[in-house]
Amino acid sequence: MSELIRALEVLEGTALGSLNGASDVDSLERWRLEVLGRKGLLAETLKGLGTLTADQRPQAGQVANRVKTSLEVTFAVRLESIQQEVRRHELDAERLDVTMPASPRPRGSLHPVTKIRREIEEAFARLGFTSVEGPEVEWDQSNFTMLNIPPDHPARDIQDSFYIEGGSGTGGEMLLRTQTSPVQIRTMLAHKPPIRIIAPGRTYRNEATDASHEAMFTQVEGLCVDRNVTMADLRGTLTAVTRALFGPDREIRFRCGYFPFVEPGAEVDMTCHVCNGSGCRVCKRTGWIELGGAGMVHPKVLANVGIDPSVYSGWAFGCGLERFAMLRYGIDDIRLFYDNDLRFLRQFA
Amino acid sequence: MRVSLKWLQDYVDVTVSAEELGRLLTMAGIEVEAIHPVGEAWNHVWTARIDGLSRHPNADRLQLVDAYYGADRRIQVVTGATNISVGDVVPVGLVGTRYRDSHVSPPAERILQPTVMRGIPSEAMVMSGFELGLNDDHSGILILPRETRVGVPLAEALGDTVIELDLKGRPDGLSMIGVAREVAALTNQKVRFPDGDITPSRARRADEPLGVTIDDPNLCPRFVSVLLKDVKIGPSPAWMQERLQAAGIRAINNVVDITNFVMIEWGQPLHAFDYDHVPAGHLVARAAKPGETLQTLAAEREAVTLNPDMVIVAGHPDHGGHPYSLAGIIGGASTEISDQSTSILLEAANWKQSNVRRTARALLPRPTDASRRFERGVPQDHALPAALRAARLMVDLAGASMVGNAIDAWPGHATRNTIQMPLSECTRLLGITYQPETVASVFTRLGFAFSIHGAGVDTVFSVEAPVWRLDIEQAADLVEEVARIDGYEKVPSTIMEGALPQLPQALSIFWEDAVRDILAGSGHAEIVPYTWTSVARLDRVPHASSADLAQLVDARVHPKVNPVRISNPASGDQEVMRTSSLQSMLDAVRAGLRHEDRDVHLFDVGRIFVPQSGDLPEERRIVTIGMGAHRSGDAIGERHENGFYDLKATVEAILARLGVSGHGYIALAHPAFHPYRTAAIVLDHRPEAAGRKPVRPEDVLGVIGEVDRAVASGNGISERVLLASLDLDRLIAKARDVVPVAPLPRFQAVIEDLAFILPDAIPAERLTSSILRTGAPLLERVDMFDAYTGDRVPAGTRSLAYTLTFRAPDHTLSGEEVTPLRAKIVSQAERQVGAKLRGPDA
Repeated sequence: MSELIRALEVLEGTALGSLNGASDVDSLERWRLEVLGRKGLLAETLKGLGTLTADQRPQAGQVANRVKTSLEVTFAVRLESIQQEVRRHELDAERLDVTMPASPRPRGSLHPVTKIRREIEEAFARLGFTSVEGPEVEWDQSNFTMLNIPPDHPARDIQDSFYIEGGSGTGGEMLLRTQTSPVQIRTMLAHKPPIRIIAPGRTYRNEATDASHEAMFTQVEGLCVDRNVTMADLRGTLTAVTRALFGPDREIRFRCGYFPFVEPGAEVDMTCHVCNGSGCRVCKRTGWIELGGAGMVHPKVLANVGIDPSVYSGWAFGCGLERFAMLRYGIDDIRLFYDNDLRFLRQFA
Repeated sequence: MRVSLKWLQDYVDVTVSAEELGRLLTMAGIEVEAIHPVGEAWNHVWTARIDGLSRHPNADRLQLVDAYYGADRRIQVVTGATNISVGDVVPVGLVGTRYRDSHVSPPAERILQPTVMRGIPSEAMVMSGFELGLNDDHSGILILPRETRVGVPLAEALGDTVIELDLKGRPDGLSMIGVAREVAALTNQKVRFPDGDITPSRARRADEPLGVTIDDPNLCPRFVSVLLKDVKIGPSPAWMQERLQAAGIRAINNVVDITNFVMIEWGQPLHAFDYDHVPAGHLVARAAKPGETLQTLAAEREAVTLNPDMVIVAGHPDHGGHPYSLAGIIGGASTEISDQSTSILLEAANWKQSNVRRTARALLPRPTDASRRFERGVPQDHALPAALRAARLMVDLAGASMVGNAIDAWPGHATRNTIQMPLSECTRLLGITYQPETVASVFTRLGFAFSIHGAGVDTVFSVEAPVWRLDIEQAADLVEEVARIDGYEKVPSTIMEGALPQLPQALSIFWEDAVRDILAGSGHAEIVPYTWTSVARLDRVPHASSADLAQLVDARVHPKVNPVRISNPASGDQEVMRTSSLQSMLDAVRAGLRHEDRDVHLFDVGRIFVPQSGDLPEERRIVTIGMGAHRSGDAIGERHENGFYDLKATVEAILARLGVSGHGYIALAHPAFHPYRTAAIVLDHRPEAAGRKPVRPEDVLGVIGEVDRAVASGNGISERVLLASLDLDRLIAKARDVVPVAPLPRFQAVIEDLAFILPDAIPAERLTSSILRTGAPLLERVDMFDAYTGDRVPAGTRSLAYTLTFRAPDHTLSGEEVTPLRAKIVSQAERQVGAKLRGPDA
């Protein structure tokens, strides 16, 4: 009996020794087969158990179990450590420099006028306004006459127009619209109040081009017609929209202003979003930034589209989208909008 | 208009600073464009008293002036002027003074330097109005009023500030009295009207005839004529010159200056005729006859040809009826006042706005001071007071005598109505409920005549529309007056309370934006090109020439039509509206390639303009995509070629977003594109019928392809460039935002791979379509996974390999079900499109 126990202890000692020498997964596997395999050294040695007497067996069995567990546990620990070592090596080989540049992937961008238009549309949508469109080549009738600017009215000078050759028909002469107000006219002719719309779109004026003037530009106009719509509502609406775009601290100011299609009319200013009204370069030290023109829809305009001005009232406003975008994104030259320089456009990714 | 505060004070006390006045006017709707003190340039000019005059010892024509300019400062000045005497107060310019030199032509700007004149040193100059830039008078030194303070800078002595006002919409603002009324209302002051009291010196004699005829009171509602004799032409007094100078008008002589002065004072343009050149002193206001000519006093003094839309002042028909002046615009040469004139016929009339405007625009490069006023509207009531005021000034300043009474022909006398303004109208339009007293106070301050009816919120104001405010016609105008004088800042901030309107959102905007998002998301930069262009530019992308599919494509996205032409373009690049977006896209790609050699991927969602006879042009929405030849690869530094299929992927992404299906691509020969790398994109496409059934024009969507090399280079691009252009309106008509979702499959699919050999001449889609049709309904999908051309397949053919996914909706398919179907697919593919199953490689 003591021979068997001794043999087990010798086996343990030798096997543990050779296990230490196994330095990779393969030699470890060979060791497992050789020592712990079904026909391995341990199994061979344990065959001797059969020759023992019944009272010798428990003790020898105990030793056998201990040796087996010892070998298996040590093996598992060893295997784990070697596998870890292997993984470490593998990972080490996969080491990246995380500061290298990202994979090149072309990034698209939306035009700044598209971006600002959507911002404005969103702000108005919250107040129940829908966006509508109209043609860029318009009748004189819709662009001027119906808007209380009859032929030979001096206000036509303020909006010098491009006319279309041979373009005359049911609505007078054809021209490139100078404002999106004809969309208001078309909407009021087609729909009964209540009306809440904004009309974004391309407009054209025959004027010299410089850093703040383009002959082709984009406007957004708003129109609200219903019973009891007031100039105070106009101020409230513009305040809400301005705050959505330029921050919660913005205030709106009305100055009296002249536009033939509104009465009373107003020029709209907001407190400067850069200096908060204390005066800076952007607001030319006035603390105020001009946003556009507005006012109560002229009774003659309402009458022109068949809406009774003694029952309904309405307000309208208009402003240049490029101007809004310039303020919002800090663009200093309006000509950049239609230059289509990728170095400019990509900044709106 | 330039308003001199000094002049303004003749009519109203200005009780606030110039800056505050500017702010008040701006808030009240008269925008102040600039405020500047008069004489900013006169840095070294002082007022001086002449204490002594003596002959220059060495020159008979020169005098030595002993000028005293305060605080014991004296200077000796050499001058050639002869109009000065001891005791006069004159401007003296010291070394460094800027002055206008009239001895050279054209006059030059100079800076005074120390000099020696005939042996006498001179370090200053006594100055004329011309040299100061005040007026055109260089005949003598400017003599200042004796009471002028001596020894102060000239600018200070004149002590004036000019406010420049933008007066659109306020015709009355084009006058000092109009501005004075406004200032009075804003600062609660009273207006002082100028002195127009005059009685004729004597009655007219028989040989001093005077007459006025108005042909059409619609064209000339009122005409006042005054005869003035014994006029002595000469310079006007310094105070008048100063005022005119401040208003930006150069002094000429007393008669011209007086007409200009009164025009600015009352806003009523006047004209002076030489009475001796007006036979019988009779003026006729009438429409011109066709072909009549008139030599005007405009700078060019050329003869202009008139037409019956133009209104003129002419002589009496018995005396030839010659045209004398363009009514309300400018005088004519034949009746011009000269230095020898002694008798003047003064006109103060009223002219129809639209005719004045059209005539001035037709005949002159820019409006005159008179026409600018008439086209905005001049109150008829001002004609007589302005005429009498001018007559009074002629008597006082030009030694004239007024002969007989003024003739006042006023057949078109317009009465102004009374406007009812309920107090509630302010509430309804402004959201402000005023106290009746507030409104009454505003009207009082504005000088409006009114009466009050009712009380409290039911108060109604009856306001007599003031004659000087032609812009006030109805209650809304009065509401604005109340708001602006009481203060626009009092308008509160509220939000509409009514029901929300049921106006549908424009779908076009929604879909345009959806397409923009797809394209930006797939790496394209949005451009916005000018919608106008030149014919030469449009011609850089050729059109199809034969009547085939290419022409149908052109008709959609690149129509060959006479473009909508702008009649007054600012430049040649703006002569027409674009009929195609292809050229502007090529321009943008070229510009992009200047800065970047890859990833020039652009898009444009915009309009083209297709003329329609007798109606506005069709504005067709077009989406255009442009790509340069290369894009970035996955790794740093890698650059891949962009090809047709890359662009096709983008087009497919757009169509998928729009929910459009059933479309297809048909090989297209078009002169703007590569002959074998271009396709028409069409709707309702059935591959099995392709080629046999002509494409219907209404199914054409657009084009996709590689641009022809010569066309690219004609547009300045030296590499391959890809373009796609689709009719977005047509797509939007087909678009579906909500596509019903298919349930996820519950049973397993059977997957089979098949490879076919297909002749090159047969489009791949025909094989795909054959497989799909044969395999239906169990064949769920067909995906090509390999395409091979080369040695291992016969010449003139290629191998196309597909993964076929079979699935039944209600059970798991068995091999027995699929095997015969597979065989049928193979046999049908051979029968229908000549495709042979590709065996294992030999």
